[in-house]
Amino acid sequence: MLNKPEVDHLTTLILKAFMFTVPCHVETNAVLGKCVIVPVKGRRVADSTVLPGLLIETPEIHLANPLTVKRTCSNLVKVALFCVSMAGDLSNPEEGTITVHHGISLEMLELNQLLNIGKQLVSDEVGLVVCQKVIHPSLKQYLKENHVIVLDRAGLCLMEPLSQMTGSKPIASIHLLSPSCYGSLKDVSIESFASKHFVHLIPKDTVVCSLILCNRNETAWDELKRACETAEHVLQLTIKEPLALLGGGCTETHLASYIRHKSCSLSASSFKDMDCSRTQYQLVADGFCRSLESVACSLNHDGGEILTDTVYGHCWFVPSGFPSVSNWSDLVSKCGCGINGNTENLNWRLLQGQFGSPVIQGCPEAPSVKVMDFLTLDCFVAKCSGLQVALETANLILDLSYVIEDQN
Amino acid sequence: MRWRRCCLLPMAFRDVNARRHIGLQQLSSLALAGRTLLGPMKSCKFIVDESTNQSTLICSALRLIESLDLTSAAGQLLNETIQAQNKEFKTGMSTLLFLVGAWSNAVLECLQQNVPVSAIVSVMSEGLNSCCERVQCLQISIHDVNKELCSSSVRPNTFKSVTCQIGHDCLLNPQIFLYFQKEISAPEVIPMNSCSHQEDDCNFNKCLASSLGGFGSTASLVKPVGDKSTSVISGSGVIASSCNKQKLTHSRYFSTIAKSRFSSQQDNFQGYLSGQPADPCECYGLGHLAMTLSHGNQTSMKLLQSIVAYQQERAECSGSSQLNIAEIVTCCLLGLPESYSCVSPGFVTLVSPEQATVIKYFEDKPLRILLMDGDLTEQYRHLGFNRPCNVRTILEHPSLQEGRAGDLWLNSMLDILISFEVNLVLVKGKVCENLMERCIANTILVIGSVTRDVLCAFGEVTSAQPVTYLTQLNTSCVGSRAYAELWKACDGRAMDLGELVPIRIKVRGIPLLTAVLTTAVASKMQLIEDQFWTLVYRLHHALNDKKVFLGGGAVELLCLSHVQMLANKNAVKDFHNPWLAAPATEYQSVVLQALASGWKQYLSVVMCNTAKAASELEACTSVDYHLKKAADCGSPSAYILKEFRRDDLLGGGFGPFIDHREGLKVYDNVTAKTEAWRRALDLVLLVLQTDAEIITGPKRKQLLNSHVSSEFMFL
Repeated sequence: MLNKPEVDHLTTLILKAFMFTVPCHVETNAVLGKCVIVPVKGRRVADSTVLPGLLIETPEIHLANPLTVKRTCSNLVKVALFCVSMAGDLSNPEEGTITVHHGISLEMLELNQLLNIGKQLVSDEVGLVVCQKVIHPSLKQYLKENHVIVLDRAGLCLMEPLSQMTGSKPIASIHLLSPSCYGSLKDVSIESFASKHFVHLIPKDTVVCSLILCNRNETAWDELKRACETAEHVLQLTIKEPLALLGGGCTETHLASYIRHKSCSLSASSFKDMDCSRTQYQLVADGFCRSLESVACSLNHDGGEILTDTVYGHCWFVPSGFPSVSNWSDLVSKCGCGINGNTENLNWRLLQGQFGSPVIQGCPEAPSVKVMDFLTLDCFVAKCSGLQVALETANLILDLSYVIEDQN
Repeated sequence: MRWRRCCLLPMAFRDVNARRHIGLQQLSSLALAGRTLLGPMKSCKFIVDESTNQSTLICSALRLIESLDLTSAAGQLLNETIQAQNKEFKTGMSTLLFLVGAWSNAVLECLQQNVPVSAIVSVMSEGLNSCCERVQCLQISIHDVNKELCSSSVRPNTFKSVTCQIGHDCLLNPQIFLYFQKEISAPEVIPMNSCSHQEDDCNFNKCLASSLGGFGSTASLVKPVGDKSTSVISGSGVIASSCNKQKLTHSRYFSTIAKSRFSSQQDNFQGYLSGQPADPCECYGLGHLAMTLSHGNQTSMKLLQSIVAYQQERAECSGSSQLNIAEIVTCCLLGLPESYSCVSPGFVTLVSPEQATVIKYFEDKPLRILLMDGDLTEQYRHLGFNRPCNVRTILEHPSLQEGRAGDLWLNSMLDILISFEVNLVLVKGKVCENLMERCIANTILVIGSVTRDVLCAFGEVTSAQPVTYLTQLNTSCVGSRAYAELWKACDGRAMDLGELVPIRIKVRGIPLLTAVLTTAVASKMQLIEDQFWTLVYRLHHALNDKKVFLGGGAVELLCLSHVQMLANKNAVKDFHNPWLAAPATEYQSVVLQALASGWKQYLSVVMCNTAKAASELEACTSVDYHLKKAADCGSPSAYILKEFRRDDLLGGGFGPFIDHREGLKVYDNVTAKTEAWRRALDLVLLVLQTDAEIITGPKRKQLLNSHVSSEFMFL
């Protein structure tokens, strides 16, 4: 549960994070970057923040702060990104048995190979080595002694954004090292949040950012993370298809009243084309409209009444505890999406309880577009797709005749 | 196989909350068990496991919840919430537990009065927000807490400065010094009687000394300055007259001054003064602050004050003035009386008698130290190393001389240690026992299970670099100038506690401090350790927040008064839901009263626990009396502030202060407290808003046949 300042703070952060992922220089095929959510559980939501670039958690904070980073002549940090394990174990255990003479250590051979790679990295002036998996302590020690910053166990999820951000190609072998694989960073620094320490990788151009998301407990954090991901996704969908629908149930009730109006005014010839009677058509249309309206109804959890108006066909909520015979205009203030206020007589009626006799009404009007402070909007792409999937699933189930259950 | 129409779906308890609100009831009954853990006077509890007949002694909400068998969903959420609070703050868990219970009950009552869930949720959370804003006026900056110490013992408008220094040779050395300096400037100089002036100073110093009685039973050194006043002054302060010294030496507290130390410490002291920031109150404040946050826990407070004094002395050199938690470790010694608890610079740990024998060979020799961040065994490989399973080693020419493979490893490891002349190895993980024996025979002391922080601290001062394998070793990895000795209690005795021997490892300039916690009762060990860390973290958070709350129930009283005022005013601010024209005003009063009842119960239970009231009824009456007075006064916060200053709030400050006197107020953490409130309310509202428990898995058939099957619905 978030309070108002927390919601505002988080909203700003999500928007900021999204802006970071939009590339500054758009060429023909613009690709949105990525926002990585970094968990800091047990902190207040207000402690959340967003940073450009990536954060990699590291237990070894006893790197000197500020970090001394080896830079290339262009004042950038050369980065090598490994996606293969550098733990020094046999990297590709295949079928069959390897027979080794006593006194020969495969581990030593493997480690020597790693140290060779280390030497090449040092001679190539690499300033930062990131490995998705584990790096052997001896290799780490060697690199550190040569003033290379080493980060291991970065994890699979970070590989794509890391590669995108640094421009480096993940190296998948400890035998071949091509200089073209290296990428670069603007800077590297150390950041601490709560008791966690991170190495902050700062890119030249920001398309990747990190949202440090805090919440009081584990369960609440998981929920919040889901919400943030959804919000980011909605923003991405909206930037691709810059349309939004009025939310708060208003689109559904408006659609329902529009379909009701249309279905009444259909000509006899069209029924013939569809091979059904007017009554049959009406029944199906009414069922469809009521399904739409039940979506709006399910937004209300308190057992209060749900109204619709006959002018705009929008959705209105009345708190529970008021008798149904009340004068509705005394009880409602704004419609679900917030675009219409209780200013004119909109001729409210109950949304539910109209079985049998659908109200025949005029075509619902589009509300005059006003600049409102707080409109509730829905994502156009997501909602359309949701309606379509629901419809197709319903059709599929209609066609279904049997479910075969294996009782054994 | 049969053909049939069938649906396989999970089932659910239909609308659990509409009927019984099991979750809230569970929360409330769990919280009931922690009632007497609230406040400074906690009652310990035994938790007995019927199946094993084992019992544990607990004295905190955290340990209570940990020891309970929490199978219910609500119980697990409660555990998670308490763990989260503990992880972040290490304090405020009993407050959290108590308020969860109190607010669960209050919410259940609201539901009985048919208040809709949404109204409860919005009004309660807005109400708490409003409270958190309101109580900001009871925050007091750490700076002001420090000043209070000055003003509480000094007559107003006197223009003087008193500085004293307590050097305290705790156990072994390096010496722990505590500096006190007081400086109060008034806009005008008022002529005063020098006699009363002296008296004030004396009282002040007495107060300091007695409050710092925690520095063990050894002699405390108190040295008044003034004899060389002109040379030590910096800034605007004027040093107290030399008569202070006479007065002080006659005081029974200060009669054991070791005069020989005076001259040697004079330079040190002067250097200290001249490097002072503009506000000298800062310099001795931490010890005082620790005291006000200790809520009567003398043992922990004394330990923390020693730590603070030591760290502040170091901070003179390094420039950081915060309490550094990473530099504190604890060592639990069982079998010594509690009065032996103390703080030792360096690392104190328990080793076997065999290992202890090595120390005798060391004598006062500087040791070469090696740090290992894994296990020291043959099989150990770093994390993420996968052992190949399909490698077979063959031996073509077996020879008897080579011996077993294990010996080979032992020998080579020992050779490495000997060739680098390592005397002391601190290992993060386990140590191979055979190697340990061989090391002991070669007078190399190996200590296992050493925490990261300790390794880091030794790494910093000895310039040793932690390695994972001994084969990695090169000369730059080995540190030097470490010393090891048997740990001695404050009466100078070396301890032999049966199987394990406490030893101390130190390096000149190491910031690491070990709080040696002693008790003769095994079951109290955990409890004492918890209490110590709680206090350490209270001070840590107070410093982070840079402010503290007035304690002793002042904050809760203001919340109570504020919420009741909101409830009575009815709709001061509409807690609006944008969809509703008629805001939840009609329920507002009921819900706010429910919120208030949480704090009222909190206050009355604390008063009962501290024996400030004989019964809850008496406590409630007392709370009501203060509420009424506060309301009549017009400004409740001003009233509470006034009563707090007079120590008259709810029967005086909490805690059994031995020398309870003016100036020793009780303070609480700001963030820890408000976060505990929020977490408690969040949990209650979360459980309130869950409307169904959906059961999946094989148990559902059992449930279907049970007597509660009528409460299921099929999804």
